Amino acid sequence: MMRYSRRNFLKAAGAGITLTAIEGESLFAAVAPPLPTPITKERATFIINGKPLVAEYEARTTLWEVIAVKLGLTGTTRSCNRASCGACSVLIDGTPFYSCHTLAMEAAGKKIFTIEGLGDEKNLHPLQKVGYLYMAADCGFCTAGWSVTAKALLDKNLNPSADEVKSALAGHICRCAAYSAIVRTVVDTAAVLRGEAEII
Amino acid sequence: MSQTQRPRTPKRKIEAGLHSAIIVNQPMVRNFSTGGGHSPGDTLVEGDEKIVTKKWQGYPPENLNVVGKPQPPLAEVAIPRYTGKAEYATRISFPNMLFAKLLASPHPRARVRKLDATKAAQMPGVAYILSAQNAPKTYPFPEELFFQGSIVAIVAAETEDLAEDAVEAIDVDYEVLPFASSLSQIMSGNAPDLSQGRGQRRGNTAPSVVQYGDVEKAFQDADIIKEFTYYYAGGVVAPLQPCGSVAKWDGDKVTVWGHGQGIYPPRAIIARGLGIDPKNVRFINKWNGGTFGGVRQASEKFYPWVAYIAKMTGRPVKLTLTKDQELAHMQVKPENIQKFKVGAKKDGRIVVCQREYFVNNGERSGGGGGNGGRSELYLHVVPNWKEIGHDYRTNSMTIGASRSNMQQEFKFGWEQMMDEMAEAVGMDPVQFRLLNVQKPGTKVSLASGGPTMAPVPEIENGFLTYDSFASVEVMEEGMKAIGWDKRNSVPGGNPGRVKRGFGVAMSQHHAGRVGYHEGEVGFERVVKRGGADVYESEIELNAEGNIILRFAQPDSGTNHGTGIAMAIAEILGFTNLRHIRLLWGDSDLAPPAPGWNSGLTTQLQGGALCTAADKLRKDLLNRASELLKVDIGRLQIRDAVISSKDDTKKAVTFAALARSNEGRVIRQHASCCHPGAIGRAMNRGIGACFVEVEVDTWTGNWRFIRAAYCHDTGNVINPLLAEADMNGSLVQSSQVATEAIPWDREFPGTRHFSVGYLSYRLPTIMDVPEQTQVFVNSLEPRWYFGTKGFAETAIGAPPGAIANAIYNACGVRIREHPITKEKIMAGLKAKAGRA
Ligand code: FES
Ligand code: FES
Repeated sequence: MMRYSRRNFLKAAGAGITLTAIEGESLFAAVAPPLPTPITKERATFIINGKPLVAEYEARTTLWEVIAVKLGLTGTTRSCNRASCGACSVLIDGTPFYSCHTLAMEAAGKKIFTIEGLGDEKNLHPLQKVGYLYMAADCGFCTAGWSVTAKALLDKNLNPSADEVKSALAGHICRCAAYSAIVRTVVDTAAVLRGEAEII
Repeated sequence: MSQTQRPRTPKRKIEAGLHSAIIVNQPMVRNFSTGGGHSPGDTLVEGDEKIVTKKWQGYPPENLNVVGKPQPPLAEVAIPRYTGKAEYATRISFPNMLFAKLLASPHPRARVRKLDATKAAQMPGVAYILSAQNAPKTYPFPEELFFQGSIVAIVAAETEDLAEDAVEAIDVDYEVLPFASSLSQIMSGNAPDLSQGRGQRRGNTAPSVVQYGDVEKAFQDADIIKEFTYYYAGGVVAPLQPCGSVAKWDGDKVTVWGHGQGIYPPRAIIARGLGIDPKNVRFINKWNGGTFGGVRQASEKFYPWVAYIAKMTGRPVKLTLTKDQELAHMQVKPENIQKFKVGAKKDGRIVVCQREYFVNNGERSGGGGGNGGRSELYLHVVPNWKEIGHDYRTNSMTIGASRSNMQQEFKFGWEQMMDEMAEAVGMDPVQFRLLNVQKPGTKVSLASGGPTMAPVPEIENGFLTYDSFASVEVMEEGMKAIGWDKRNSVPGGNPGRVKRGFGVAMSQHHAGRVGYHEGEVGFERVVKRGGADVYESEIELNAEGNIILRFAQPDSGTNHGTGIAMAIAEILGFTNLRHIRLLWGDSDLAPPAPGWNSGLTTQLQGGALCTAADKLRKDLLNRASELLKVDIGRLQIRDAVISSKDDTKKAVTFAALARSNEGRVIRQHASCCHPGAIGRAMNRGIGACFVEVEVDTWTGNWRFIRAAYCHDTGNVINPLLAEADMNGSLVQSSQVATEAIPWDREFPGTRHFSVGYLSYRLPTIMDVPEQTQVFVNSLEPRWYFGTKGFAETAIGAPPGAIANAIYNACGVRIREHPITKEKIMAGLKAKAGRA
């Protein structure tokens, strides 16, 4: 029995195999390359939060590993490592991606935005300030992920409805279930950015 | 936003505040027989041994400046969560760090016949392979792999991928042994003997019987007798942070960053596991990405091995479990069957209850189910009771606390039984519960109290009496909040395809504990008896006038540090938290304490700190009195200034007092202890959950629309944090109704899924109901500011409430967990067939 794993998925993807959603497991089993995996080193520049950073990685290395391990930007958390929770989200050229299931090579040379780009303790983004006042994070493990997705939404839509916020953030699991606070945070941050509300 | 924009309308203000919580204040002095608390003029004399407690603990809930005011958590704890800097173990990173991965047993029960790691050891980037062959003698690997996911080897390599490559290259020859993982397997005639001499007879269970009253006679006298059976399939917590740890050596000292609910217990495990002095272990765990009671051991049991590999390689090592490995090692809610036979009088009074339960106890044998959680059920007024328990040892995960302990897993059935009984006697389910639930004044004996009740000095003539206990209010306020009058009088009686329904359930939890703090007679007595859980704490005033609180407990999103800081601020005469700092979650900085759980943190760890603050307050007043030559009674404290009430120019600041002391700090230390299995009073938490659901009778799909979640809280220290916490509790506990342990369909009860959250559906932002938190402020006279623990008072209720609401909506009763649309559909079809 070949179990589904990110490494197998990426190995297969790297070997140029077309994946079908159905019966995917047996496909992997039939064609996954034998061990040991050949390790091809790559080297590329990533423009993270406006700064060009160079990393060396294997062909199969994920974007998350490059950002959080190789480049030491540990703000982006990884939870499921199975493209199912959204914790690891970053923006690539303004679009949210699950970095645990994005190959680093796909993002090489592109503009990447992570939680570190949003704001730090001395210079908090309104999303962070409003989130703090509204208790949009309990444990905070999901926060980096939904925050960048919310930023992408607000960049495109400065007046999202609660339903629009929900559908934008539907790919983010918050196990502490701070959901209602998260929705209010994003809706009211938009009001702050529009100049219609101010943070006390 | 540019400054030049000037909207014509004034700007809306964004500030912290309650969203939809309702606080129901109770008077400070209440009539004992109606609302708990105290009769006017009462002096509280507790117990046979006459421990006298003043009517109010020295700090009554009056004239408060900080306690009770909603405010966001302390920035030093909360802001890092928004900036990506909260120091979870997973965020700890060192340049030369190795990454460890696990080889876990794929079989529910096996032995390793042969393990060959030669090929794996030669793989690129592999630094170390730990298995039974080279594990430290002080902390060996398990000999028998007792459940799927049991640990076989750990590989440390330069990257996670390289470690996983090597894990796959290890050759293991397993001797697969006969197994039984599920209740149906272990209860079948041909189950293997798993008892292994653990005090259990062959058959893997030793039935336990508890009985009081005259059960047989009571059944003869009952007007209505009904029998019911319910099944609960088990559950897991699935916190977002992956379980794991990092270990790093510095000479003969090791630092471990972990993930759990304590500092000193894991430190002791590491020291024992490595055979070293605990002084050489520094354990750090400040932030967690959720723990929910279940995580602890999934991280904890690996600490010594991770530290050992770090020692052997001379490099820092990080272990991160995958989601399926986590599932194998976290504590789970036990699968169980409950059978009830209940007798009632025509007027609705339950006079007798017989309860037989069968619990899948996993690898932990016996007793882990807390004897079926009887003391968490709330019918302490029922005079005749018989209970037959069967706890089975099985080849599945360890059971235990998992977003509360012994709550949803048993109340899913219990609360449906209460609904079915209410229907049988022809009563509204709320009125039926109100008739049968204990109220302030109800006396409970040790025999009837259940296994989590222990002898405490407050027992009077063999009984403890419920006092600060809002069983009536949580129900009445919940009815109002949800609009109970809109409930269908006939289940499924609404016309149309989509039907709405209402349901209720109650919950009692041992969490409403009150301990003893230093200075109380009970404290000395419990500590002298030995073996007590003692929470130590330290408070420090420094030369800058800041108050530093040192305590052990890690924060899992719980924000208990803020709640504690607010009580401390109140004691020390502050009107805000600006001068309070926390030092927590680090064994080098915080004094010893056991871990936290079930609403204990603010009570016991906080109680220790409040007691230290009380000492500090007295100390500072003494010093100021001497310095200012003013009688203590004529001094007042406000925001770090002590002044004379008669002449405010006679004043000294906290900072000045600290500076004038040797070492330029003033320190106080205090402890608080857990009194035994339950609190020192019958003030255990009580809660209720009212829900409204909608069922599509064409598809079986149902939707959770609204909930009123009601808690007997005592004085709520910070309603903002309480609301946020309880919103999460409601969503998580509701999910327990619809998800079981994610077993593989091909190997049910044997193999669990490996695909993480794809096979275990967690609620998303789309699934959250409209929620109202109801806090009934039934003041606890024995504790600081009338507070008590309430984190889990209502937590057992939601799954049963949902099942009851689905029944009310469409007339289908789901006695077999989990609730699925297929089961609802099957029920609807069966109903239509009958009609
Ligand atoms: S960690 Fe990437 S989606 Fe869950
Ligand atoms: S705040 Fe804990 S997972 Fe979202």
